[in-house]
Amino acid sequence: MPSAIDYLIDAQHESGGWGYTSTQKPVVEPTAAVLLAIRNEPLANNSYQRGISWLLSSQHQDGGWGINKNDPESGWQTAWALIALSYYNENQASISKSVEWLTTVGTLEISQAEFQKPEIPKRDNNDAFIWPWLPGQAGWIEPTAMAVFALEGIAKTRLAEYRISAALRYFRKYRTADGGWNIGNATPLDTIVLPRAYPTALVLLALARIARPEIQINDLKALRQDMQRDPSILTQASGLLALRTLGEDDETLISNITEQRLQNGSWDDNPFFTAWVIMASRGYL
Amino acid sequence: MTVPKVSRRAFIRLALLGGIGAGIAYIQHQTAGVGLLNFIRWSFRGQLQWLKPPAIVGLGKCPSYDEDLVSNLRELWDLSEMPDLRGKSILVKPNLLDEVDNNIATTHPRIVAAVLDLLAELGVSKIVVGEGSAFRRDTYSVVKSCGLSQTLDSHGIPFIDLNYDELIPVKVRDGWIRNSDYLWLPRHVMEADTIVSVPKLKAHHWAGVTLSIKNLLGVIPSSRYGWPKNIIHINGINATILGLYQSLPPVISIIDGIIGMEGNGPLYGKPVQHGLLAVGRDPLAVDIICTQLMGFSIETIPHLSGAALAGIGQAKKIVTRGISPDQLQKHYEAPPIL
Repeated sequence: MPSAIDYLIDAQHESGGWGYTSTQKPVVEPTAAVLLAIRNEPLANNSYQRGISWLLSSQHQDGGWGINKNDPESGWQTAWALIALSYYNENQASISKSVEWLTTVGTLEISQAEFQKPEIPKRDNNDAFIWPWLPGQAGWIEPTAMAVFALEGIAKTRLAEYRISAALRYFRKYRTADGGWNIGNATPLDTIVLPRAYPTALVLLALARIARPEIQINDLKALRQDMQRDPSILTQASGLLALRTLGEDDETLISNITEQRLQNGSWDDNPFFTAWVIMASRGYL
Repeated sequence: MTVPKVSRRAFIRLALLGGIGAGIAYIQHQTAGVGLLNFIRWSFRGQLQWLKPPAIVGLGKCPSYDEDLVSNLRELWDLSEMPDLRGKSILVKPNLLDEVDNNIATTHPRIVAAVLDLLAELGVSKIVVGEGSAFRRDTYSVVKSCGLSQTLDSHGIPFIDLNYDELIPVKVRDGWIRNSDYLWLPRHVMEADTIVSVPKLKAHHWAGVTLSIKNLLGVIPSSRYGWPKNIIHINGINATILGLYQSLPPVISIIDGIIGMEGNGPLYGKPVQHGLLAVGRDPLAVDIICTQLMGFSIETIPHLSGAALAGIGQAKKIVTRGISPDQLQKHYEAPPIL
């Protein structure tokens, strides 16, 4: 059986990127995830270089990324691209532009122009500083967690630091009653929602970087509970990676995931999911 | 001090001017989101529906998912004068927004199986089942948890997670989507000749009801717009529903109302034993009839009243066939919004 790395090499589009399936045209999120998964694999060095080239060529003038080059609007995919590029030190100009875009992306309440002023805008609403899926919208858990992960350690401005601290307050505020996180508000339209594994895993990965003591036992419990409810590979792999990052190994989980591997070496014939499994097996993003 | 006397003629003029002013203010208020010209154009188009043939909605009574669902649907299909789908490429769109306990929020897999069997009988050339979960990163996990994966395997039908499909920019009509002339939509959706919307009959805490038109929101790709179909939070759910609906290939409706959901839908409401199946080629007409059968007024459901006003489907003349609506009438607990 081919290895997962073999599968990812085979699934690479001739233009250099990866899609969400092996036959799809490239988009930014799976390409960035695959680059993170293969970056230390000597056999995948050529694929890695071509993938980086695709990613760099897909960057917009404003420094961000959309779904691909044809999408004129930069959005949440920028955090993924930045994380992937930040391990690749040969294009600092591209990294700086994307750091700037991600730091100053506007929200529903604060425009990009206002964020680009020297002073941090004064707003009472902490949620105005977190990260949206697309510019000019309200913030949500997933893009916020990914932006924190991407910017922590490489963005040095006061605004970046302020927005990361706002994200921390946001994670505290929107933790569900049972611990863990859903995709946004824990009580939308007065409805109590269940925590979900994927957003919880992303927040845990972000908190592990910026404020590890903030993580509560209930968060891990909520993560495990949804992993039991939802057997999908993405849930299992992202959850496993979060658990391993926090020092909680789980051999049963690893063997369950391994059993779901397909004959072509992949999980669900999906480069994005397969990349997550590789990262989870390795223990770091 | 004497009060100046107003003649009868002057009084009538003043009242008339006041009435015109109030009318303009009302229309301005009602059309603030879309503009007066659009409002006039849509109203005209809506009134034109009076000149068109009536929409036919087939209604059936089916107490359980253990019944012969294919026969039930075939009978309703024939009664409802549905389009000829021979040789057509079909996207079946069930409601699989998320997995909650007992799977009461999702279209029942036996209904999907019956739809697939019926479509095969009708001689369609290609079928795919597609959905993009609003709340899950992997829609296929909902497919598995609700039991639909076995159905798809046994029928040899592929499932497309529409959140991750290849995307095509599609021009939006009527300006429903603010700040953009385009919606990015999945290739499998836009390449279908016909979309069969197969929703679960449910109350909805934001849209009022979720039936065959609202069910279409699931095709919006979250890989572009974010979860949960985040364009609805910036553009408004009703405008997005209508803008999307007008951008798609023709849609027909098959409603799973055998067990509906009342109260705090679409996820956390209570099940209702309704025993309803509804079929029609005009989703607006089907949704209007089903909304009435839930005991709600159309005027309280903005995306349906908006579609009726704008003539996006037939709302003026609807004929039901099959079981009489009286025998299917229920009174659902309203969602918090209504």
